[in-house]
Amino acid sequence: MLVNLDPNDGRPLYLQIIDEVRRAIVVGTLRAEDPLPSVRELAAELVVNPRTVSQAYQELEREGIVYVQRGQGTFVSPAVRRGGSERRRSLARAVAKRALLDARRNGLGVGELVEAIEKAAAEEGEHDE
Amino acid sequence: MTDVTLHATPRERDVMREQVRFIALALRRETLVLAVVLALVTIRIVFAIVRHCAASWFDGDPSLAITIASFLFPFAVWRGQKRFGPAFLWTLPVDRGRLALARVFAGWVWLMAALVVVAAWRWGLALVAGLSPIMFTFAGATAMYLFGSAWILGLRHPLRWLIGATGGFLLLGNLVEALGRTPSGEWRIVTWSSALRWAVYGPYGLRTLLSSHGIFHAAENAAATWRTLPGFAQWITTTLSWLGAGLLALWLATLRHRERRRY
Amino acid sequence: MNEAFAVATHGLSVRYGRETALHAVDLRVPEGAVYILIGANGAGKSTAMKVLLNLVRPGEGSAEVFGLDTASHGPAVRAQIGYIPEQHEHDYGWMTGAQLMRHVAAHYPAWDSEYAAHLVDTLGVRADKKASTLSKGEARRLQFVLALAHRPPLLLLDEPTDGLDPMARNRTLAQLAEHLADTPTTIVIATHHVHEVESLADHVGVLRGGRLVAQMTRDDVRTTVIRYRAEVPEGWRMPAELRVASARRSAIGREGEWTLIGDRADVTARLTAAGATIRDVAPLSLEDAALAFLAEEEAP
Repeated sequence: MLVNLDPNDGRPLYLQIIDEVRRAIVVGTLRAEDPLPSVRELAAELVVNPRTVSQAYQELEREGIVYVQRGQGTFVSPAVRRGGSERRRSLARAVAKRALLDARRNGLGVGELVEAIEKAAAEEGEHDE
Repeated sequence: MTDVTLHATPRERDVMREQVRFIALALRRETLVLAVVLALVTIRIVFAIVRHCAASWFDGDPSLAITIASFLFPFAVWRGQKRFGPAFLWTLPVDRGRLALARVFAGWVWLMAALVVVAAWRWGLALVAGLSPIMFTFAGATAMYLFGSAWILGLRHPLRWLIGATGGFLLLGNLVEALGRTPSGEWRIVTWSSALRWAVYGPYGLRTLLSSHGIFHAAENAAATWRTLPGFAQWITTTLSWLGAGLLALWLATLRHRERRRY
Repeated sequence: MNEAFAVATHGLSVRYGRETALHAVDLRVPEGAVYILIGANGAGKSTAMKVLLNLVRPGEGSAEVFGLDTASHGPAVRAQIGYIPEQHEHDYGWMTGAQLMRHVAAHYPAWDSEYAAHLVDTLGVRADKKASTLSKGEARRLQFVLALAHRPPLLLLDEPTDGLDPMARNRTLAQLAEHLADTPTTIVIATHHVHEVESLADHVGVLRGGRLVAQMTRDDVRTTVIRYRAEVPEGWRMPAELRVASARRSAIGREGEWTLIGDRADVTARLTAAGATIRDVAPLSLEDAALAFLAEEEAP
């Protein structure tokens, strides 16, 4: 699992970690029962406060995305399926929010943005999976 | 209040022991120099004996040398050690005054060890080469070492003060020589101040401290002023007084490094 | 709720002759926090740390570490602290790294030899070389070992990454993160290179000219130091009551970007009420936020 943190991103670091885990699950690089890096490892790799990683893991556990095995570590829940619709929806929502922010900054309205997205998709010949 | 388990400070004896180790490590160069000097002098004497020359040049009185060396020894002990302002030494979890005293103690241990070695060497030579054995003044060395340590700890620029004091002393010495001595062999200038006279020539004076022969022995008419060794009681009183004075000077010097205490 | 503080200073002032190094500083570092003390050179960061170690006497005020007064409990306080000073040269340059470690270990009963060996290994410290022959980076890494090996409850790091090349910097900070995971520790990092340590931090304090102009959690920074981009009508003026850290106006003057310090909802409302149309609201990185505090003009 590759995680990149952006200090200029508005979200708190622990949220960024959570989103990265969710993304990895949706995309398929993290599957059910896969182990997550230990708090120690991830903190060292990202050079973040271990508490931040703990916070992220606890939140993920609360949402049922991961579970903690005493003495073994943290693992992805077996109930997680790649492409789970709920997860996909929340991911899409996050992407949409970012796009809207960008649009507003450029003075564009929602309708204009949606129209532009559809046109761009058609040009690139993208298909939904 | 805090939940944190606080770490302990080190035990006093561990600190002392570590300072002794530290000094042993720091003065390796000096130890080597001493060993080399002793070796060279031994060779020289052996040559002299083999050729049946008189090694009289060697048969002098080491008291002066020991006095001066002991006073200057703290310069080696504290070589390169920052004493004022932020220094690594003061970041250690030991009371600063006590840590300074521990360092002084460690230096003293090294000094005593060195004196024992030199004394034993001298006695050995005396037996082998027929030179007269002499007494070594450990107490005198200790007192001088204490004063020297107080000098270093109390002054930010001990070397400058030393050069200044030595210069002043030499000036005084010239003055003294110019003024001459009294008929009984004492320096005239010393007789001007009764306090000074008492400190040097009195029953508990400097001369008694550096007993057995004293630094003034060779310079005076022995018969007139110095007939016998001082009495034991006199010597003990002198020794304790001078040591006490040295310890006092040292304690005063460490006050400059004390940490504030509020009980 | 009375939060336990690892470090608390009360109206701390320190003067060096006529220069004021610190003025009425009230530091509050909660236990377990990673606190970045930001300030330009000479702003007083090093002095603050030296007061905690009782290397410098406070002119006024006092300081406590884990509830112990630093001036009257110097040795006890120092036993809780692992310190990396600003300068990398060690006083005992004639000692090798190994000898230094042994010397320091003798003064800290809590010294963990295995951990020290692990640190030497991970950070690539040359323990057989004399300290004075070490390069700046090697010397710094040795200082790291000496400071961390006794797992002190409080780490005071004065520009810890200064002198380290980028790879060593990353390795050292990663080691610090691991140390945090293994050891309950409070860390205070004094630095003006905020960028590389900001992901570790959860508290920040800004020193400007010896005064603590800001002290808050990272989350609070995110919600109070914000860059607003807005369209404004001709002749528009910023409302006087808002704290402006920095301002940029486009040449024609109709678009502006301001870094404002204040509660986001409140500031947004005031700006809008004053006639601005907010286009973008962006929180800042810790580094930019610190710059904002440092750039803020003194209130009249």
